[in-house]
Amino acid sequence: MKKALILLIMAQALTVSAKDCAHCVTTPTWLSIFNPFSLPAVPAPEPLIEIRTPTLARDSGASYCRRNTEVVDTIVFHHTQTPSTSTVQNINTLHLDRGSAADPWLMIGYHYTINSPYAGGTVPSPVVNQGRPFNLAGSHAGTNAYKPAGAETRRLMALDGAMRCGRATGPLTEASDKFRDGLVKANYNTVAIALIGNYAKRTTENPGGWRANSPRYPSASTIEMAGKLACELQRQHPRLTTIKWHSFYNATDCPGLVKDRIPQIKAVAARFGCTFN
Amino acid sequence: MYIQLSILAGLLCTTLAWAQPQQTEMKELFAKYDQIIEGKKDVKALDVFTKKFVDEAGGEKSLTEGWDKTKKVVYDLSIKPSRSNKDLAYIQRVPAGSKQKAHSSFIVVKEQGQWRIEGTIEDE
Ligand SMILES: [Zn+2]
Repeated sequence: MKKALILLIMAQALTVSAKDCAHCVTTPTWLSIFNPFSLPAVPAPEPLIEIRTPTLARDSGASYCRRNTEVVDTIVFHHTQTPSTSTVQNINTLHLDRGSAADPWLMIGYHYTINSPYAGGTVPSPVVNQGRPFNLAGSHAGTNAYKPAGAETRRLMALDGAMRCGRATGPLTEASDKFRDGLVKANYNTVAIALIGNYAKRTTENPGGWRANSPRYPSASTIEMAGKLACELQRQHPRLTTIKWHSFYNATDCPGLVKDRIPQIKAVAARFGCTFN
Repeated sequence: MYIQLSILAGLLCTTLAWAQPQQTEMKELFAKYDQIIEGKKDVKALDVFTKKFVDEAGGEKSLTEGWDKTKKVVYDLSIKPSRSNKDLAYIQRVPAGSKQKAHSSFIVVKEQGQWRIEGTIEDE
């Protein structure tokens, strides 16, 4: 009789829990206290920064590569080498002229831009804009840039579906150029952040650069914004644990003195709990 | 018939000439640019750069003064017109005969009927 009563109470508890608990139908209420799977979800942390998403023109005839975002393990910093007053729309317009008529660029090659006012500039504060979506391979490190990558990145990259390329008007097929001599194509496993401005030394090929006696570094607020953006991206994509710069991949002056501030950018990210190599 | 064809050909040439910056125009512009770098006083920044670029650079002097003395280099120019804007083009220059790749492009725009350098942009 006692046993039957206990069974009845348990059965009732199961029925009530199934009715009242939409997200844990099979877990009785009396069990939920001890069941870690039925605890309320921890709310996602507030984003560290606002990432604006402007509408940017695209070339509908261009080819592009859609990627498994898990292959992305490295942030690459650039400067645009344009005046700091340029906008993401300006850069998008200029990049739409890249490539050839037969094989044009889809849109801006960078995934994020940061407007980075120089000291005394007129732009009030740094602003982050989304450029090319994260799940599309960028055009920034150099078409022929290939670098070593970790075993997990190589494994993920080797999977079918890691990098599917084609034109908007046709089918996407798996990229055939993901590897070269065991190295990974840099545009595929990286995400590009460009500081809008010119942080390289003035040369005959860069008349807008800084002069020998007055080096131009990104401002403290720009470094803060870059570090927060890096950390925000790592929160969204935990495999993103390395920071590099354009001249690591190619013989270029890009990103000028931004390269010297990479340790400070990493330090800002660390303040928010993010660690980068 | 021949007259009609000649007129058509003439129109086509005129259109092309109007639509794209010509090598000679660009050579002249960049010859003036090199004169600025060499410190020639008779060339003004506004003869070479757009007003916007001069203003953003901090004025005439910041563009015409303080250039390091360098050996004169002869460059090959490659011109790439914008696909969407007839008054915009990109110029890359590399030392003549060299196989080296330019890692930035000059942006040139037509300002009041004259081609001027608007700045540069880094290349991939
Ligand atoms: Zn770059």
